[in-house]
Amino acid sequence: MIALRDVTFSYKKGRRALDRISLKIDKGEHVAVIGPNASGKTTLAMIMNALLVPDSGDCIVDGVNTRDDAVHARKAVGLVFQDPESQVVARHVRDDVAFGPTNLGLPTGEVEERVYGSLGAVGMESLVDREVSGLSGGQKQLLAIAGVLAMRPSYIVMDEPTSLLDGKGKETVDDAIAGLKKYGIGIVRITHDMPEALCADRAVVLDGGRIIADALPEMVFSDRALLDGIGVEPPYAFKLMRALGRDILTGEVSHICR
Amino acid sequence: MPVIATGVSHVYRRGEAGEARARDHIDIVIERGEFARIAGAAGSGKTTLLQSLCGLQRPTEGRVAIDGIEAPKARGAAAMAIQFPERALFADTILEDVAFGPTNMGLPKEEAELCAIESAGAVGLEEELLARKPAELSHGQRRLAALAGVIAVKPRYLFLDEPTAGLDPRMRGRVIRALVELNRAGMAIVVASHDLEHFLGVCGRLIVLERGSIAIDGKPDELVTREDVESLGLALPLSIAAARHLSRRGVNVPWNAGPEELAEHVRRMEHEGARPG
Repeated sequence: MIALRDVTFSYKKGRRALDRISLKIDKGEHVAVIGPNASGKTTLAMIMNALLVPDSGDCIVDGVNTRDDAVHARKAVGLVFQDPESQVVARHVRDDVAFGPTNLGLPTGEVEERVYGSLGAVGMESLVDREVSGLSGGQKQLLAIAGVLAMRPSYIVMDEPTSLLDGKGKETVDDAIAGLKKYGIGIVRITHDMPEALCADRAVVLDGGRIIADALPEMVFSDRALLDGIGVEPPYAFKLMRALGRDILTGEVSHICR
Repeated sequence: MPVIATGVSHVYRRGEAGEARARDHIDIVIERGEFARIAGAAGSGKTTLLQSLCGLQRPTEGRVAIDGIEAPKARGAAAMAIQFPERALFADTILEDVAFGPTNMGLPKEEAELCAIESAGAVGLEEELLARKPAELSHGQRRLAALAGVIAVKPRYLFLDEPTAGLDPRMRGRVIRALVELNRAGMAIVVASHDLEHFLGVCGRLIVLERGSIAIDGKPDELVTREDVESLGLALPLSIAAARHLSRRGVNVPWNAGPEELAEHVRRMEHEGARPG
């Protein structure tokens, strides 16, 4: 479990980026984090994998405080940045995915197995020999996810992993997330795409560095005042099901919403 | 005169291992004052096409002319906002950054700064932010500042690569409204974006690329009736997916129907004994 207890964090002299955040993420759970720009979502992601250490409060990953052992958290919690250019390190796709496992000192055969397995999970295995510079922005996002998968983390925190992806790419990421959940991996997905949030087990809403809601996505999208406060419209699928008086993702027209 | 691309192809690393063709003999015309959106799956050639149309990249085959002048030489006529353009902010202040383009075009400092102030206003960036350092602005504000810098050279054609990626709904709305206003003022806008839902209502033309070729070039409502849309890797907004679904069952629903209107159609079908699904 990732457990944050009263976590506060500020950048230099600025206002608090995170203000007394308490939150738990279980293994196998898929949690969406939504909120306006500058609400603290990316800072939260960096706290979870110990790129940042709280000013006060604690982030505990599987029983280990990130303050005491940052390396443990970085191994356990994979982080996919919003901008894939921040994450891609090698000239070729194969070397980029192999970079992490190789640094762990794994034997060549296992590195190779992880490279193909991770690229396969995001539909990129046919591009294994391509140069990274020739990939599109969306393909680089998928590559960044593959690079994190290759480290076999217990949790994956994704900061808008599909912002440059079209339909097929998004579906690939959704499928990959569903697969990871089955293996008991905890997923934290930061998103501005409300249909993505609707598919999560829980939606955590951040505003001004504070958690203003942590509930089932259906509950969050039912709270009009909350959504107006952060300038968010409920997803179309949600509004349609409401208009039909049915539960979301059930009923005869459910597949239209998928 | 428009932007005319004739037989344009682009091959990355031609003749080397990993050779990749991003576009394949594309012919396309971008008219003055139009608002077009380019869609397509990741790797379909959207960014490469934008770069060629605005003269940032010379195609390996074919030619692009902007208002009758070969693209790379038509300096200032077309401009492009790259993905995450705020990464490229570099000056000490936002004003200096936005004024960089006009200064580089040879305008005196005062005139360039006036251009910068005007551009900031055009994209809805508050004037008091111009004196700040880039790092002091929020992510969304930096995006607007970067867009102001791109339009400060007063291009007739503006190309944007995923201009709303990473923005929250409010800031996304501000960027789209700014682009609509620029378009009303006469600037041609061509946006490559996966964000079909939020751009469809504002663009009059939709161009869909598939493996470097143009698969669709028409009005957005073609997405409802075309048979091959599913194979193009697009994330269809639910209103369009539902309109397609129902049109195959003989029920015509507008592509931009709201949830209440769509629900009414579904209820009517059920009342008549038909299964919507």
